[in-house]
Amino acid sequence: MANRPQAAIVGYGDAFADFDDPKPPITLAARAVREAVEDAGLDRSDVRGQGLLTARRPAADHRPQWNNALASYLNLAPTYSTEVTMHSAGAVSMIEHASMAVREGAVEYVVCAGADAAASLGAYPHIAPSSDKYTNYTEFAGTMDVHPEFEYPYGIIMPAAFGMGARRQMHELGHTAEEFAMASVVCREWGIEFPHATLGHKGPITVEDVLESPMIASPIRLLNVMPLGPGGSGGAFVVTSVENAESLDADPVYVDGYGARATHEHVTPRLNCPYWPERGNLTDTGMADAAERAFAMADLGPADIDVVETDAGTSNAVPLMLEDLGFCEKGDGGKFVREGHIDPDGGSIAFNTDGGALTAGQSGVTLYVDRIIECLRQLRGEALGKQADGVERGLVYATGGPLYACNTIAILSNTR
Amino acid sequence: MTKNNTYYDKGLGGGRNTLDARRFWEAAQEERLIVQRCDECDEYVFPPQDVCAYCWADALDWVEVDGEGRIHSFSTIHVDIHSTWGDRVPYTVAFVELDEGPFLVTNVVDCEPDDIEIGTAVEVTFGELPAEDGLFPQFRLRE
Ligand SMILES: [Zn+2]
Repeated sequence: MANRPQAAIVGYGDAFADFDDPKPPITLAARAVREAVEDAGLDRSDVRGQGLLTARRPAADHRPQWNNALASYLNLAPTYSTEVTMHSAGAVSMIEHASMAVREGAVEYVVCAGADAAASLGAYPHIAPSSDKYTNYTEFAGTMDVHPEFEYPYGIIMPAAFGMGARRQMHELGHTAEEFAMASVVCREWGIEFPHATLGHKGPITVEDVLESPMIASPIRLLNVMPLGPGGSGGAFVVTSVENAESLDADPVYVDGYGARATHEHVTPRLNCPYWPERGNLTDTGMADAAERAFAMADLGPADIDVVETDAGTSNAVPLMLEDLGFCEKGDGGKFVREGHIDPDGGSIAFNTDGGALTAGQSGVTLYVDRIIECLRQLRGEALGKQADGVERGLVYATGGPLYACNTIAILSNTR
Repeated sequence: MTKNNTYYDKGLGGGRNTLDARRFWEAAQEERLIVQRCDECDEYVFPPQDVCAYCWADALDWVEVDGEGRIHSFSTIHVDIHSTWGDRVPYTVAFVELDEGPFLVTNVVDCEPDDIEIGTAVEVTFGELPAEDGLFPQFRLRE
C-alpha cells in the first residue's frame, strides 16, 4: 500500500580527493556533511542531537563504530545513530532507516554519510593497493568476502566469483562476452564527462578494446572490472519528514519507496541453499525481490523510472541487474544493452550517469554513497557530468558482498 | 610446520579447522570426502555447521560421498594477487556439484583450462595447496 512519499532528502553534499592530493575518509565525510546541512538551509545547531547514520566503515579507516568517530569529529552528539552495513549495500539502506526514524518521530533530521579514500589505503599495509592504483581493484578487494575456510584456500578472488556467475549467465541466459563488453563501453560513455571519474580521462572504449584487454578471471577481463579510484570520495544527505521539508528553504527530493534483501554471506552457502530459489542457482538474485518491494511501496513500476544509479563491479552484472530490477524480461538483459536502451544517446534509461563503478570507480567500500549523490544531483538537475533530460524519478540500487549477497534499493523523485 | 597466513591464524570462527568443520578436515587427511546431512529434513548441509541450516535441528550426520560430480561453473585466474598462489598462476577455481547434491568451491587440477566446461565430469583428488598445511579436496577430470 502506497503512502508516498515516505520522507524527504532536503540537502546533499559531496567531496573528492585525488591520488596526488589525498584526504582521509573522515575529512571527506565531514566536508560532505557540512555541505549537505548548508544545502538544506539548516545550521549545525539544527542537526546536533538529531540522527546520524554512516555507511560501512571505510577500508581506509579501520576504526569500528565509524558513526561515533564521525559524530565526534563533527560534535553532532546524535540521539539516534548507527553504522548501516549490509556490506556496502547499506549505504542505500541509510535512506530506509532514516525515513523510518523521521516518520516515527524519533528525530526530526537524520544526517547520512559515507566516505572512503583509495589513496589513503596505504595506512593499512595489509590491504595496500598495488602500484597500478588505477586498475587494480582486484588486489584491494580481491579476497574480501570469501569464505575463510572453504573458499579462500583455493585462491578464489572476487573477480573469479563474479566470473563464475558470469559463466552461468552465459550458459543459462545466453548473455555473451560482447554484451558484457558493451556494458563497459556504455558506462565509459556516460562517465567521460564526470570530472571525478577514475577512467574518464582515458576516453571512450570499444567492444574490441574490452575483449582484447588482459584476462583477470575468465570470462572477466580487465575492462570488465571496476577500477580502484578516485583517490577519495565522500557523500552526505539530510533526511527529514515531508512536513518538515516544506518549511525549509530547500529543494527536496522525495523518498517514494525502498526495499532490501540479503541472501547469504559467502557463495558456498548460497549455492547449497534450496530456497534461493533452488540449489545451485546463481542467476536469480535477491535484487528482484528488493525491487518488487520498493516498487510496491512507491506504487510505481520500472517504466516510471528515468534514471538508474547502480554499481556493477564487473560488467556482466549490468544485464543481470536490468533483468532483476524489472527493466526487461529475464534473459533479455544482454539484448536490452545491445539494443541501446542504456546508451547516453537515444536510450530509454539514463544508466549510471557518472559512469558507475566501472568508470567512476570505487574509492573503497562505500561506493554506493557516490551513486546516491549522483541520483540526487540528476533529480535536482545539478549533475557534474552528463545531465539526463526530463528526470523525475530515480532508482538507486546497491549490491554488497559476493554475487549479489545484499541488495538494497531506493526510489526517489523530485516531485510529490 | 605452520605457514604464515594472517587470515587463518585468527583461530576459531574465522579460519581453518573451525570446530564445526573439524571432522571434515580430519577425513580429508585420510583422503575421504564427507559432508553433513540432516536426519530431520534430509537436506545436505555444506559448509559444515552445528545446527541444520534449513530446519535448525540438532540432527546433522556425516556421510561419506563418492567424490564424483560435475563442473557447475568455473573461472581461470590469470592475475597473481592471491597471497597463496604465486607461480601457480593461471589456476582454475570451480563450483563442483557432487552427484549426491551438495556444491563445493574447489580447484580443478591437472588439466588445461580449455579442457573444462560447464557439465564436465570430475572426481575428487586430495592434494596440498600453496601456503596451507595438510590435504585439501580438489578435483580432476573424470575419464
Ligand atoms: Zn534439517
